[in-house]
Amino acid sequence: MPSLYSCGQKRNELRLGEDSRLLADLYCEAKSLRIRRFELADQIRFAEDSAQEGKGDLGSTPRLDSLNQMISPLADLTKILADSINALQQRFYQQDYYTKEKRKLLDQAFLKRIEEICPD
Amino acid sequence: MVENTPAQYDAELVYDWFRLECTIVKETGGFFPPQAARAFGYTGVALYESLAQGWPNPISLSGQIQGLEANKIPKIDAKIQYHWGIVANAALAEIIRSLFEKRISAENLKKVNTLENQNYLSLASSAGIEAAGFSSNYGKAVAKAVFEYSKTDAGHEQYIDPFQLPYTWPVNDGGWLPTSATLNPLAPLWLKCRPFLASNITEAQPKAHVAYSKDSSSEFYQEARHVYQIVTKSTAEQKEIAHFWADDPFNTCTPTGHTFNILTQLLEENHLDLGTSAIGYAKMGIAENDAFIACWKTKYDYFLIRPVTYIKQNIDPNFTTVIGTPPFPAYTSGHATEIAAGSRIFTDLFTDGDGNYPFTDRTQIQFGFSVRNFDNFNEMAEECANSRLYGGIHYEMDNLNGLKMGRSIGDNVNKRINWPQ
Repeated sequence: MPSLYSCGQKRNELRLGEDSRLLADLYCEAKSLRIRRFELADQIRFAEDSAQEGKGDLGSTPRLDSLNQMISPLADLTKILADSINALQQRFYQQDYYTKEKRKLLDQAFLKRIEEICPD
Repeated sequence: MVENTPAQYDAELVYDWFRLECTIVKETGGFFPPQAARAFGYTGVALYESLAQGWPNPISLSGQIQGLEANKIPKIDAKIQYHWGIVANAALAEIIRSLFEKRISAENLKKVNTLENQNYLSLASSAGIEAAGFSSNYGKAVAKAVFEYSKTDAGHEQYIDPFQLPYTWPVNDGGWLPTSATLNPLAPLWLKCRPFLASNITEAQPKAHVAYSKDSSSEFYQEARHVYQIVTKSTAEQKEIAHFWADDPFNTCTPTGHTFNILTQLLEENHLDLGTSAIGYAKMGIAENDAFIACWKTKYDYFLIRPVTYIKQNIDPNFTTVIGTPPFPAYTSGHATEIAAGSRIFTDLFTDGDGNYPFTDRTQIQFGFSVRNFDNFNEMAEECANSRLYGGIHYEMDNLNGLKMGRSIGDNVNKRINWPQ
């Protein structure tokens, strides 16, 4: 039954493409937030260094305060996105990607997709 | 009576609990790496102990881990057909509520209660109402007993005062100095906590680090020089590794949480049963708890200056690290110690002893890190340890001796405790 086989295979490929796209889109958003978190952490520690070493100008403390105020909104956004990604992964792994082999296929499609939309 | 053991139950609900515990660690003040390792440790012990009497040849941890007396753990009633899924669910809800009691947010407490109730309702019909009630009560009773036991280890509620002030630290040449606005070192008295296995402290401590010196021909200077060279010539891949294992500024469930997330992923993808999963969590919990006590003992016995401080004083005053340096002494690396202990538990759980197990760590996609692939658990441990060198926050000797100490602790947990086969 080559035509039926091809039809099933095509459907699986479409699903894999759709699922990997969904995961990759969320990942790319999360990656962008992750980069912002590390940048903010760097800004905070460098501002702390300046303040500690007495090299900073008088604006060091207000600058630190304003940087510290950015942590919470960024962490909240991260949390919402992390929860969505977690829920999506769990749904995938409990349903269509139950076996290790299928998860590997999803990994490969995901890596290919992120290389296209948010490469390093 | 029909055979009824934890091996006959699905473990999915347990995975949900450990995922939730990661969230709670992240969002609850005072849960730094040692405090988090302790919480995961007692959670693993409570889960295991709640199921221990369900095996055909029951093996309790009482009498095997320090301070856990057999008469303190409630006994099952042989006439009751317990639902081990409900027992585990109740035990995990109870121990997590207790371990985070003083600081857990209302939102997270609600999540705990909701997960407990949802699981109970979905399982109670298959168990029968009476058996479901007995099972839930039994799970809670065991968790309460384990929580009472945890109160005697000197780590109880230390998340309320994680810096354990006041603390007067030793002032000596080469001693630790603050590396950030956090002016006190974290958890200086953690070394006084009772480990689950005494031998994890007495037999695993590393040799002394190379002697401190400012002399540019000294071994110590070369250690620092090595950090300096790695960081100043850092590749994109090394930076990525440093960030991946640092877990995250503002959003980490600590190194132990990452290791537990990997454990959950591997148990789940192998579709292991409740009993086997409980053994895995207990082994990992004991190893991680003790790894942090052992490592913190080393840190405060030696109280060694961090690379960033030494390099700024002696090599380059403008040196900056790739990631922030945490507020505690250098020797040995907490990441290296905990991941090495974990790698031995993984090796025992998933391999014939050689550690070879090709896998993909997908646990950090949620935080915007891509997947990382490993062929062997030791390879994973070494990458995690090296990440601290790439980050510029540890000397290589911190990592090498941390790895050695962690491996010894992991092996100890596998071999010295009698586990169900």
